[in-house]
Amino acid sequence: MELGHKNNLFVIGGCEINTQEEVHCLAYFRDLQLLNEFQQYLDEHLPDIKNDASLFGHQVAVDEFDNIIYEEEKLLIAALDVDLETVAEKVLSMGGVFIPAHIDKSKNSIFSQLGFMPFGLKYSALEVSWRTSVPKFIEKYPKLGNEKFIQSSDAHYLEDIGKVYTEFMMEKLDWENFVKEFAP
Amino acid sequence: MEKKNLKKLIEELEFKCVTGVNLLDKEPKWAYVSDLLSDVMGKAQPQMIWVTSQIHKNIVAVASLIDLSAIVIVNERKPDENMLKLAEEEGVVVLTSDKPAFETAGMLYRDLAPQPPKGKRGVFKRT
Repeated sequence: MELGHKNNLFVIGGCEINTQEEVHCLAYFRDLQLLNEFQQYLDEHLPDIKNDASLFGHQVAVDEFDNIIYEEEKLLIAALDVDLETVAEKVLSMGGVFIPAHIDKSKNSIFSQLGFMPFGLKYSALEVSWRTSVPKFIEKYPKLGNEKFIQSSDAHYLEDIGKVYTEFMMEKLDWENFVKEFAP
Repeated sequence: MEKKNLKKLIEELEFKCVTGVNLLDKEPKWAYVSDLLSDVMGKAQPQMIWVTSQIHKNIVAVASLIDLSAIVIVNERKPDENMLKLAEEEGVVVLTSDKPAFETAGMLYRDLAPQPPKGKRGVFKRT
């Protein structure tokens, strides 16, 4: 975020969450303070399983110069002990943006894990992966035709960043205008 | 082999019935084990018992949709109030097992499987 600031880029901080049902979701927050607060929530609810780097790779955190600051020992692909609805409420109650991830995928999506959209689930938008497009997805699930969508890359490698993306028409590059895009 | 209703299975396998106590005279046909609701919706058949570790309330709708005879939640996982309320409303039997899925499924298999044909299994013939 600091690096973005120096380079005149507006960076929004967030994370991918794995809920109890192993549904992947995205959460974005206004600033570092809220991100840290949410990180505490994740730490509390992520089970204490140690990462085996030979199986899952190294979980490193880097600074703005790509120096490794530390290596996370807790296994980050593990699922939280809280359910989808509870996580959604937590994110939204902190003023965050909550988006069920890659809902078109047959792995770790709402549809794969839970069969259909849970009644009463609150979210800011839905994300589709690079494998489809929003019109194609709506053609398949016409009931979701009135939802808000983003499309993003679910990038786990540097070269995948920006593979697909979503454009926002914003008056000003700030959090308020970003959140406005998700207003009902 | 004698057909067993849910009540009998619960007694024998030490499941706990958490919803649908008055629906236990159903005779389950077979069982299906999966934690992916999309998979259960596509593959499970009516009257089956569904063994799962999912406790999300969507499992009630899936069980009701396919007309499953019961859901068995394994590993001492505790379903929440909302889910149980929905299950009572929908007339879905929810059972809990304090054993993991493998043991739970094994016990159900033993109780629900038709008898193997005599002399065809487990007999080693010396030639």
